[in-house]
Amino acid sequence: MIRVKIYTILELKKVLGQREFEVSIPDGSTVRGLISWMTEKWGGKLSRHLFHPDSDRILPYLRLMVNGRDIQFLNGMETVLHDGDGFSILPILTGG
Amino acid sequence: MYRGGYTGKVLRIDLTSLTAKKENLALEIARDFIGGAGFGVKYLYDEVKPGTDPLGPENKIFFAPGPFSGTTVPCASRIAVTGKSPLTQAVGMCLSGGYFPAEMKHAGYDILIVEGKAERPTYLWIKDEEVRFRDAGKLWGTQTSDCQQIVKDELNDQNVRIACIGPAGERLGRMACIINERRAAGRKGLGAVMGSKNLKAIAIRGSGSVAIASPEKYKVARAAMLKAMKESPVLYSHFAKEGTPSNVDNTCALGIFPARNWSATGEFTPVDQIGVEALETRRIGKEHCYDCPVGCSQLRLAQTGPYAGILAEGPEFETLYSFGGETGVDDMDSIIAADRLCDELGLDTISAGVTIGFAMELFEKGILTLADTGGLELNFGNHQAMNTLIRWIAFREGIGELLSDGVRIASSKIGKGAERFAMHVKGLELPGYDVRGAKAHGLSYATAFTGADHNRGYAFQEIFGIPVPYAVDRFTIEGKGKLTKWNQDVRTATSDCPTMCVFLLDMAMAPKAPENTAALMEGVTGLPFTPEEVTRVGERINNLARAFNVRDGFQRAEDTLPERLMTEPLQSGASKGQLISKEDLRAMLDEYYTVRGWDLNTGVPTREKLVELNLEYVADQLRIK
Repeated sequence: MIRVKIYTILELKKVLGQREFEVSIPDGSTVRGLISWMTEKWGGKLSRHLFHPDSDRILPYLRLMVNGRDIQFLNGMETVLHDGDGFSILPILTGG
Repeated sequence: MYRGGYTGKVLRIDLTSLTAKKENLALEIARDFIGGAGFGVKYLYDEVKPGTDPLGPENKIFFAPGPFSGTTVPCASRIAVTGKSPLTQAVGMCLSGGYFPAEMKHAGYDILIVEGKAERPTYLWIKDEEVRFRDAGKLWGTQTSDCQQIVKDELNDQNVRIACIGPAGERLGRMACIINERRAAGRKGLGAVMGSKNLKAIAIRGSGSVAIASPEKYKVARAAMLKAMKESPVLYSHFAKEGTPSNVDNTCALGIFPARNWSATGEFTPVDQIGVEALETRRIGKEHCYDCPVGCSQLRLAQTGPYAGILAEGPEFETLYSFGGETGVDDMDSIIAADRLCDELGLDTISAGVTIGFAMELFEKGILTLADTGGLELNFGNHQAMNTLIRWIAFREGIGELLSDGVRIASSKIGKGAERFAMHVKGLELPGYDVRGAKAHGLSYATAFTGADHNRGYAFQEIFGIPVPYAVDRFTIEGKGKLTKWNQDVRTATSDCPTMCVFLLDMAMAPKAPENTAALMEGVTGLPFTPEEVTRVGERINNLARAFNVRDGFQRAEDTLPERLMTEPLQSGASKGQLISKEDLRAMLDEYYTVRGWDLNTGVPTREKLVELNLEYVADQLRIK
């Protein structure tokens, strides 16, 4: 098993109940696997913040990051996670 | 000559002779520069000579709304205020919103130029065609909200719109801002320029309206814009309720919320104390700028301790950074109080907070001592000391005298290695993004014509992940020169010139900003524009502003970042290990100058580029071969 730290903000934080927490998942898990695990655990209340209705397509502009880097610049949903990695899910925001 | 959008009139005020003159706005200036920032930069270059003392009577201030201001284009009541900056000695330009910009258009003016120096404190009263110079003797020394109320009472009109300075501007503090209503033309010390002219306030009342050249085309363009705003996944659903502070949560998550004078980014992340949730319980209402359906400004009331009962419009994200992360303060109510105090005293919250954070680091390192601070314990996190110091800076009291002109001047006076802790570019204190984890944003800080300015080339691709014009990896440097040029040119042309709130660009219009501006320009003004021509206006302005700075001695060497950002990698958080090394910056600058068509060694625009942009006279003046 590996330990991965999940970090999120705003509405997603409310859904998950915490801003930051660690989970244990099997060795070799990918981002896709972690998200499946999370949606199983939190169900529809999480899914509707992540996916287009009735599909498995991630919502546009939702940022999925491993160690601060957007997964589209890694191996996308197939990015393999390692022990100690940080995984962030950031909803679209602007304004600064 | 003008069918809509423009009034075609420029009001020139000479405070030395107390005279007002009305001039015509040349059509080619409207065509080449659109308005707002474009007008400011064009007039600044043409009328303020190299070597001008920013606080001398030869400097000028240009107030310019855009052709959309005062119409029913949503979120367009913005005004660019431009002059030579006393803080940077470069182009000083910033924008404010509220009602003053629309009122100026309704009074009949595209540009207000203030030059010379009044013999005694004066305020301007502009009522349509009528211009009066009024004694501001009894206003001198007032805070900005009191000043505005007294002027309204004196003129017996509560609907007058006023831009004014506070005690900081009167004392020529180089971080002084200009306040209208509760909004600020905040940065680069333009409040001190007003103060240097003995100009306390400008009061405006207009009874006119702004014509629309092609109502049918305008209707279509406006409907398209409103539709895009409605379809935005964030504008009404989130931003209208929370405003800019959500970015505290976002930048903390990205590990780029600067902390303790940029020494503890990623380590000190007070998101629970000063992020969105902490603000929710303090929100008591919201405010809209003229004809803005969004209303992102939040009114917040401090609730605890000595700050209870203090109301601020804000704090915005940048103020939560400057009086929160930067100073190591995690007491929300003290930040609300600091925000309000700066507004009342007429101080830029970003520069003031960064200067206080700088002083705190020097105090903790023993470079400043209790003897220097007058007994003030300037440790990080000391919010009482922070609020005391704001007042001292504005009034130039005690150590406030040393700090009142910003970190660059203060560090050179202090010596003892203090320069290493002065977080600025070209004299302008850094805004709230630790650019070690956002490389294009950092390149824009290094190259923006106003110094370290988040509003000149905001890299929303890196900060928010918006994939326009394409997605980028925030940690890499490749392609960031090209991206920065796009960010600077498009933002200038589509937000700072027409004028329009930048948040629309980020949240609703990003994929079609030049198209939207072109369509609205044609509808509002009747002047045909292609999207490419709109972007070209942004490029022209960035080149002309660069030429203004070059003429005053700025070259490639000034396009840099504080040493700390280039030598100290981030130690914690989601951007751990990141920095912009000197080699990274060199490579990004090379790419940036190449795509800009600027000389690689000097950073000076080439003749070819200036000619291409219809700026041949600039090449001649600068003797560029």
